[in-house]
Amino acid sequence: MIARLRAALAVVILGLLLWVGARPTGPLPALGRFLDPWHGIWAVATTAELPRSAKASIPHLEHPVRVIYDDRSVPHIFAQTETDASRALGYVVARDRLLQLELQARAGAGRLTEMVGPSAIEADREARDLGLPRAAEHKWEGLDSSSIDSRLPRAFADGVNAWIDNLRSRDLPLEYRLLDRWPAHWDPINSTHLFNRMGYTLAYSDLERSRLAAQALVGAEAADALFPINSPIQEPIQPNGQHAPRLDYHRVPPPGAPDSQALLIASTIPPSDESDDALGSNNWAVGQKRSKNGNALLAGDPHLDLSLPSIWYEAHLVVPGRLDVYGVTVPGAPMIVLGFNRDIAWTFTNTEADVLDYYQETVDDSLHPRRYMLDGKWHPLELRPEIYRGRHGEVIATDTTRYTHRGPLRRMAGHWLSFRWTVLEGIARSENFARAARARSVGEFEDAMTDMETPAQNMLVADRTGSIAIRSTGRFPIRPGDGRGDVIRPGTTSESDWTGQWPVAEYPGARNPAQGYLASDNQQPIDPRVNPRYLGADWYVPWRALRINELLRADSAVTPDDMRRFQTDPGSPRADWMVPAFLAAAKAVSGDDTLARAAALLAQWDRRYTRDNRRAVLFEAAMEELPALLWDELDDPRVGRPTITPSFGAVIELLQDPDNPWWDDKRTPNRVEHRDDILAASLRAGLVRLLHELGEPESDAWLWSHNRHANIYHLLRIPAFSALEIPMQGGPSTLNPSSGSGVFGASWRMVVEMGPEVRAWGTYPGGQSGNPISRRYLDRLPRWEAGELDSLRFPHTADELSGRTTATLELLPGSRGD
Amino acid sequence: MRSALIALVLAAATILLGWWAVPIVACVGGLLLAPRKWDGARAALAAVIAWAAILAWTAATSPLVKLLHQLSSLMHLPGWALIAVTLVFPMGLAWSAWTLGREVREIGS
Repeated sequence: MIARLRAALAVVILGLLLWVGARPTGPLPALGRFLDPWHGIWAVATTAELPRSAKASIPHLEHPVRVIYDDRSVPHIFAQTETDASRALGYVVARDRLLQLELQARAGAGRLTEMVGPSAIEADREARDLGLPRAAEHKWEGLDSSSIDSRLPRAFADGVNAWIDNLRSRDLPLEYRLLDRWPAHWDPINSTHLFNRMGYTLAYSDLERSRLAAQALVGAEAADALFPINSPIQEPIQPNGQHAPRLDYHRVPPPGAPDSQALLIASTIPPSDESDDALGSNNWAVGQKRSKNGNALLAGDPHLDLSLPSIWYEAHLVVPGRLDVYGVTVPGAPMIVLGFNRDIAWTFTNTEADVLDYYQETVDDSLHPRRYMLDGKWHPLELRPEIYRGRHGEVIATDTTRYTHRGPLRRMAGHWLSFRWTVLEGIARSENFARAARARSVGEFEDAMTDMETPAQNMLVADRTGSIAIRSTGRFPIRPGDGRGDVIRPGTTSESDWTGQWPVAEYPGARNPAQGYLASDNQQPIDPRVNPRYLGADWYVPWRALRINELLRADSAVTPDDMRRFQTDPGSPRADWMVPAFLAAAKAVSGDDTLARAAALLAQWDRRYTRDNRRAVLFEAAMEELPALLWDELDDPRVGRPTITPSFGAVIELLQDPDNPWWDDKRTPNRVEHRDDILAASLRAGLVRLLHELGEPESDAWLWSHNRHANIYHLLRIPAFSALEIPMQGGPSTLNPSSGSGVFGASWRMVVEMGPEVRAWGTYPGGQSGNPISRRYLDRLPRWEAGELDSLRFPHTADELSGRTTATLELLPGSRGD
Repeated sequence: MRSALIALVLAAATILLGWWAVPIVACVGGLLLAPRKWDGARAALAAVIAWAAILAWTAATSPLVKLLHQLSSLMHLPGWALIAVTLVFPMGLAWSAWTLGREVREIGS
C-alpha cells in the first residue's frame, strides 16, 4: 500500500515538475530551461565577458576580418572591404547588444507585442498609426540592390545573423531568458526601422496641437504670440555678425475670445513624448586661430534618452587605403554615425525644424472612410490592414490604417486629419554616412551629407587644415501662402500641399566664420533678418547657446580640456536672466517676511548648478510656480490649472512689459496684478513649498545633488539593471542639462583635436556590453558622472594595440566557428 | 560510491543534454539498478550534488555571485532562495523519476 502511494506521489510530482519545467506558467518562464545550471540563467555568468580569443564565420564575408578589442572594450575592425567591415560590425554589435538590436527595430516596425506581449500594443499602434513600418517598406523597396544604400544594411544583417545562427543556449542574453524567447533573425529593413524610429524621436512635433489648444482659449492672435515663430532672443547657429545676442521684443497681445472649433481639432493631434531641452544637444568647434595648439577642435554632445545599454556603441572600422573611421553607431546602423577619421571629425545636433504638417480632411464615411475629397473629387484612400500578434504568433488585435496622398489619416474627436512628414518619405540612406566616413575635408563632408533628408541635423565638422563648418542639413518643406507650418491647413484642396523644399544654398550654415568658432544647441538656426523663410516655430530659448558662446568668446586659446570642461559647465544664462527679475520683484513688494527671506536666500546663489549648491533648488521651485500663476488664462477648467505651457520666449517678452494684462491673475477679481506681483508670488510660493518638503535651507535636503538626478533605465525598465538617482552637475538649460524626470541627458560626449595626429576623447553613460552582469555594462558611468572623458585609441595598425588588447576575434568566410 | 557515480552521470548528462536528462537518467537508474534502501533519496541527493557542482564550477570561473545579486533584486527573493529552488528542482525530478522507474521494475518482476 505504501509503495503504491509512493509511486502515485512520484507520478504526481514528476508530472508537475515536467509541466513547469517544460512550459511557461503565468509570468514564469519554463523552469527547466531557466534553472538548468549549464544552459539556463546561471550560464549568463559565464558569458559576461568576451573570451580572450574567438573565431567565427560569416556568410558572404569576402575576406578574413580581424577584430581587436582594446582596454575600453572597443572593437577595432580590420577588414579588406567596406561591406566586410559592416558585416563585422553587425557581428560585434549583435555579440554585445542583441536585445537592444531587436527591441529598437521592433519599436520602429510596430511589432513589440510579438516580443513582450500585449502590454506593448499602444506603442505598436502608435508606430503603425504614424506610418513608420509602411514608410520603411517603401524606402527599402525604393533602393537599387547594387547601391551602397542597400549593400551596407544587407552586409550588416549578414553579421548579425551569423551571431544569431551560431548562438548556443549558453550565449543567450539574460533578458531573452526572462522573456523566454529566442532572438529573431535580423532583416536588413530593420536598419530602416531604426532610422525611422530616430526620425520619430528627433523630428516629430506637436506644434500645431499646442498652438491650437492656446487658440481655443485665447484666440489666434494671442496664440501666435505665445508660440512665436521666431525666438525673441536671437543667437542663431549661422553667425549673424552681431557678436552678441539680440532681443527681438514684440508685445504679447492680450488674451482674446475663445475659439471652440480650434479646441476640437487640437484634441485630435496626439501629443509628442515628454520633451524639454534635456533632449536637445550641443556641439561646437573652434578654428585654428582660437585654439591653443593651432589645431581645430570639435566637441559633440548629443542629448538623448539615457538607457542601459546606451543608445551608442563605439567602434573603429579600418579598410586599408579606403576607410579609417572611429566613432559611435546606433546598434542597427551599418556605419559610424558620429565620429572622426584621420582628416575630419563631425557631430550633430537636432535642427528642430518643422517637417510635419496636418491637414483637415473631408471623407466619405465618418467611421470607415474609403475616399477623401480633393479638388472637388473623391479619391480612394490607401487601406492597410494591421495585424498585431502576441508572443506565440496569436492575433491579439487587428486594425486598418488609412493614407491620403499626403500620408497617414487619423481620426479623433470626430475629425479626420492627415499629415505629411518628411520622416516617412525618401529612400533609406546609408551612403551619406559611408561617404562622410571617407571625407578628407569639411567640403567633402558637406558634399557627402547634402542629400541626407531626415532627421534634419545641424552638422558640425572640423578638419586637419584647421577649417570648421556647420550646416543644418535635411529636407525642409516650403509651404504655400504665408509659408507657415504651425497651422492646420484644409485638406480638400491641393493648394494646401507643399510646393517644394529649401535649396541647399539656403540651408543655415557657415564655414570658417570671422568669429573663429561655431556652435549649435538646437536654437533657431538662422536669424530671420537674414532669411525670414519659415523653418519652424516655438524654438528652444537659446540658453545653452548663450552660455557656450559666452565661454568661447571669452577664450581665445581653447584647449581640448577646456572643451571637455565646457560640456559640464554649471553656469546658467536662464538663471542670470531670471534671478535679477525675481529679486527686483521681491524688493518692489514690501511687508512680507517670507518673501524677504526667499529673496535673501536666492541672492546667496551663485547661479551655478553644482552638486553641493543649496540655493539652486529655490530658484527652480520659483520657476515651477511661475507658469501656474502667470498662465491662469490657459487654465483647463477640468483640472483647474494650465495644461499647455507656452514658449518660454513669451515669458521673456512679457518680462519687458510689466503691465501687460497677461500678468493679471483672473482668479483674484478684486485686484489687478502686475509683473512683480506674479514673480514675487512665485518666489514666495517656492520657498513655502520647499520649507514644507525639505525643511530648513541649510539642511542637506536642499543640496542640488539631493534634488536632481539622472535616471538611466534598462531597456525593459528593470530597476535591478538600471542606474538610478545619479546626482548631476547641471540643471535645466545648462550645457549639461538635467531636468524633468532625468531620463534624458548627455548620451555621448566627444572632443577631437584635428592636429597632425588626431587625438580624441569621449565617453557615454554605460558600457559596451549589454549584459547587466558584465563589468563592461556600467564601467563608464563614474567618469561620465564626473564629467571626465576617456582617451580614445585610434591606432593605424592592429600592432599598435599590443599591450592594450583585451580580446580578439577572427572572422572568416566559410564554416561555422567561435 | 554508487551515489557519487550517479551524481557524475547526472552532471555530465545535464551538460550534454540539458535539464530533462535528469528525469531520464534517474528513471533509467531506477529501472535498471538493483533496489537499495533509500535509493530514491540517494538519487535526489546525487542530483543536488550534480547541479551544485556545476554551479560551484560556474561561480569559480565567472561572476555568478554578481548574477545572483542581480536576480535576487530583480525577483525580490533572497539569493539563497534562488539557489534553493535551483537545487530542489532536480532533487524532485530525480526522486520522482527514480521512484517511478523502480516501481515499474518491481511491477515487471
